[in-house]
Amino acid sequence: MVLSSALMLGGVASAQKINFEEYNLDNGLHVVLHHDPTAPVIVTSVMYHVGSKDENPDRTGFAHFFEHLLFEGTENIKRGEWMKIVTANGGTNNANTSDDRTYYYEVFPSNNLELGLWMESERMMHPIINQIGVDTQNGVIKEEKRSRYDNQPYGNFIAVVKENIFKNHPYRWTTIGSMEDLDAATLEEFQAFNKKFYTPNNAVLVVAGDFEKNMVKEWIQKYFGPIKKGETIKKQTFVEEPITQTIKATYQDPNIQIPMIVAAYRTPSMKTRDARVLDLISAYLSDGKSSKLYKKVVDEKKVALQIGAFSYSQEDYGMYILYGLPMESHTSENILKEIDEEIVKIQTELISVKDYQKLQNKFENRFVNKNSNLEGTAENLASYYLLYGDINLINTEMELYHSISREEIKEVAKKYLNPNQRLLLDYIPTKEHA
Amino acid sequence: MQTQDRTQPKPGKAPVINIKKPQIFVLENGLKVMIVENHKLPRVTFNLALDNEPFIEGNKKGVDELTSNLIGNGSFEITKDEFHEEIDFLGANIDFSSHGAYATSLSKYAERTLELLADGTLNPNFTQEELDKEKSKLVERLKSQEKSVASISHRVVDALTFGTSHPYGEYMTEQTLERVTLEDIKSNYKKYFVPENAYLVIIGDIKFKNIKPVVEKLFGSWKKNSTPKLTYPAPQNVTFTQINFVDVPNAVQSEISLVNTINLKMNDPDFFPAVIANHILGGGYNGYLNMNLREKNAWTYGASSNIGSGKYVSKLIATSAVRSTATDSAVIEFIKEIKRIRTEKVTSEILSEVKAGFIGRFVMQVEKPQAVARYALNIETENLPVDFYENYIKTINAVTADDVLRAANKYFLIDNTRIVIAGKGAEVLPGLEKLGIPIFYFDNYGNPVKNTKDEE
Repeated sequence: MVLSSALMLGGVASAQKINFEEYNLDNGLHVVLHHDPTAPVIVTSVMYHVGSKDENPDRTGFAHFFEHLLFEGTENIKRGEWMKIVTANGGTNNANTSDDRTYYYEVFPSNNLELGLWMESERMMHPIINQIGVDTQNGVIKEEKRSRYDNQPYGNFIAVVKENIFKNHPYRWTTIGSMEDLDAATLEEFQAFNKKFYTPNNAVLVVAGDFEKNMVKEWIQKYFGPIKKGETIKKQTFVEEPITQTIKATYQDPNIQIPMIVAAYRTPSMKTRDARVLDLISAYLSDGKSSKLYKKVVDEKKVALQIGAFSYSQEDYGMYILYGLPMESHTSENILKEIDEEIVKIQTELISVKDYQKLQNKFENRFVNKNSNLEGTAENLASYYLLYGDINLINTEMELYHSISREEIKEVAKKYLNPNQRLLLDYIPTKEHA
Repeated sequence: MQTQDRTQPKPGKAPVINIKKPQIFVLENGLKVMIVENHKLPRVTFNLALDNEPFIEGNKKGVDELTSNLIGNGSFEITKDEFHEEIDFLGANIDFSSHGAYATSLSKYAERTLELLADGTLNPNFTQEELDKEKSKLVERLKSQEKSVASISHRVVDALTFGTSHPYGEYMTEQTLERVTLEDIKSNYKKYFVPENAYLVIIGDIKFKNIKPVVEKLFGSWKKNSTPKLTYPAPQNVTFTQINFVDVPNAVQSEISLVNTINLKMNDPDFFPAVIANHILGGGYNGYLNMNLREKNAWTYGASSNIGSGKYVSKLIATSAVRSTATDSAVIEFIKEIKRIRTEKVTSEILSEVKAGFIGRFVMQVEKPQAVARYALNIETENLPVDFYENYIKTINAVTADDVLRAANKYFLIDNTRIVIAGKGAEVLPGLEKLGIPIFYFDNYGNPVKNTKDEE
C-alpha cells in the first residue's frame, strides 16, 4: 500500500551524488572542491586536525581558546576588523571546536570567493597572537563556560561522564578546558601551540558552492601556496583499559530539581563498523515515538519524563550514553531497570524484520537530509576526509548502514552494552545545606 | 618572501538574483497551498501553518500547549501506536501542534506522509488518558526548569512587559494546568484549528500536477470556520526607567534584559530603518553592545538586542548573561549604548557595512526553495506589497543615517524601559543600589515582593 502510492509522487530526483574533486598543494594542504551552482553562494572552510585531545593535561582548553583567538587579526587584518570585513561583504562566519578538530568557515555571496580564500589563508599564514587578545578572550571564555555549562540545568553532564569514562585518554577533559590552566598559560605557550598545529599539512580546505573551477584553483595557489609547511605531527596513541566493573558516580547540580540517571558505555572509534551498529541501536531504542524505550518508559509505563540514547562519536573512542529523568513517584532505579530489560532483549533476540526495515528507512532519511544544505555538505566533506580518512563516505555511508545485519546488532550489543562495562551516574539536585 | 600581493581582494561582479514564485492554489474552505518544486534531493517538506491571532488562555493557561501535545497521537481512524509506528517506519518526521504541522519525508513516501499529517491534524482523537499523561509530563517539565536562571528571566520579562492578562505575558503553572479538562482541549481545537487563515507549503521533489489532487482530496473536507475574536488590554510601557530585580540564589551569572514594547509592522516605512538600527546596536557580533560588553570588557560570552515586528505588538529587548560582579557596570553600559544609538548619528562606514550584511544574506537566501516559500508566505501573512522582495535591496540601500536615528528614537524607549535582572541578590544588589535607578523586586513569577533585605 505504501509503495504503490509512492510511485505516483516521487522518483523525480535521482539518488544523491555529491560531486567533489581533491588535490594537495606542495605545502601539504589538502584541497576539496564541491561545485554546486544552484544558488549564488560559496563556503570557504578550513578544518584543522587539532582539538582538545591534542592538549597537555595541564594546559587544557587551548584548541577552543584558539577558536576565539584566530578571529583577533592577522598581519593584514587589523584587530577587530575580521568580523567587519565579513559583514561588510555580505557574509557570515563562525567556528567550532571538538575533542578531535577545529573548524573555521565563511559563507559569502559567490562574488566574494576570493575574499573568503584570502581570509582563511591569512588566518593560516600569519595570525597575530598577542597579550591583548589573550586577555580579552580569557574573560570571554570564562563567561562562555558559565553561560553554557555552569548556569544551565544539566549543563555539566557530559563533563562528568567524560571524566569517569576516560582515565588515560585526553577525552577525559572538556573542550572548554580548565580556567586555571588558561589563567596559567603564557603567551609563548599559545604561540607555540599555533605554530605546531595550525599548519597547511595539518588541515583541509573545502570550497563549496557556485564557483569557476580554474579561477578557484588559481586563487587557492596564490593565497595558500606561499604558506610554509609545518612540522609533521605524530598523533599520540592513548589506550584505555577495558571497563570491567561498574563505575558509580554522583554529581550535584544546583540548577536542577529533577534528578537524571545516566548509563554510559565506552565504545570504539567512530571509524569502526561497530560504532555504526551502535548508531542503529540508539535509534532503535529512542528515536521516534514508536522506539522501544520511548514507547515503553515514557508513554506506556510513565516512568520517565524524558529518555534518550545517543552515540557520542569520536576519532579514538566513543561513548554510548543512555539517560532518563524520572516522573514524580518514580525513581532512577525504575528507569534503569527498564533500560536494562530492553538492552538484554537486544542481546538475546534478533530485532524484528519490521523494526530493522524501519531503521534502514530512518537512516536513509537522515542520509539525504545530512547534505541538504551547502554549509553542511562542506563540513561533512572535511570530516570524512580528515577524521574518517575516507571522503567517499559522503556518498557511500548509507551502504555501510545497509550492510549491517540483525545478527550484528545483537552481537555488538552483547560486546559493549553489559552492566559491568559502564558508568552509572546519579546526576542530582544539589542537596541544600548538606 | 612575502612580496606577493596580499591586500584584501575586491568583490567580483554582484550575482544576478532571480526571485522565483511558488505555484499557488486555494481550496474553497480558504486553505492556501504553495508549492515549490525542487528536485535536487529525493525529499519533500510539508508545512501546514495556521496564521491565527494570539489569544488569551487565562486561568487555564496551558490548554493550547496541551492541545499541541495531544494532536498527532493517531486519529479516529488509526490508533496512536499504529500511527507512530508508521511515521517512524517511513523514516519520516511529523511535528504536530495546535497551530499546524511540519513534516519531512523521502519523496518516495511523500503521499503517505501527507496523508498521515492530514489525518493527525483533522481527525484528532483526544482522550482523557492521554490528557492526564501530557499534563503530568508538562508539570514535571515546569519543575525541571524551575531553577534555570534563563527560564525564570524569560518568564518574568514577558509577564512584566506584556502583563499577565496578555497572551504574551501569561504563563503556565501547575495550578493552571490542573484546571484544563478534556472538553477545554476539544473546544480549543474546534475554535482555532480552522482553515480560515491556513497555509500549506510544500517544498521539494514532487510535481505540482501530482500533488494538487492529493491535497484537494485530503484537505477539501476541512470545515470552513472563523476563529473567535477576543480582546485583551494593550500592554503599557513604564513611565520611567527602572530595575525589576528577581533574586535567584543559585545564579552564577546575571541575566540582564532591557525591554520595552513596540508596534512595528513589516510594511511600515520605518521597518528597515528600525531593524538596521537594532542591528547596529546589537544585531551582530560587531554591534555596539557586543563590542562593549564582550570585546572591550569581557564580562560576557555575548550581548545582543532583538527587535520584534509583525501584525501584533512585540518587544524590543537587549540582553546579556554577565558575570555577577559586573552586573551594575553592565547596566550602565547597556544604557550608554542605547542612548548612543538614539543620539549619535551612525557613521557611514558602519551603516554601509550593516546594509551590505543584510543584502548579502538576502542574496544568499533568495534562490533557496525554503526562502521562495517563506517570502511568499510573508507577503500573504504580513500584508506586504507583492514586490516587497523584488525591491528589498533597493529599499535597504535607500536607508539613511537620519532614518536610523529617527527610528532609534521612536522604538528604543530608554526612558520607558524595564531593566529586568535575574541574579544572585546577595552578590549583585549592593552594586545595583548605588546606580540611583529605582529598584522594584519580584518573585520568579513576576509578582511584586518586598526587598528581602527589608524583611531582616
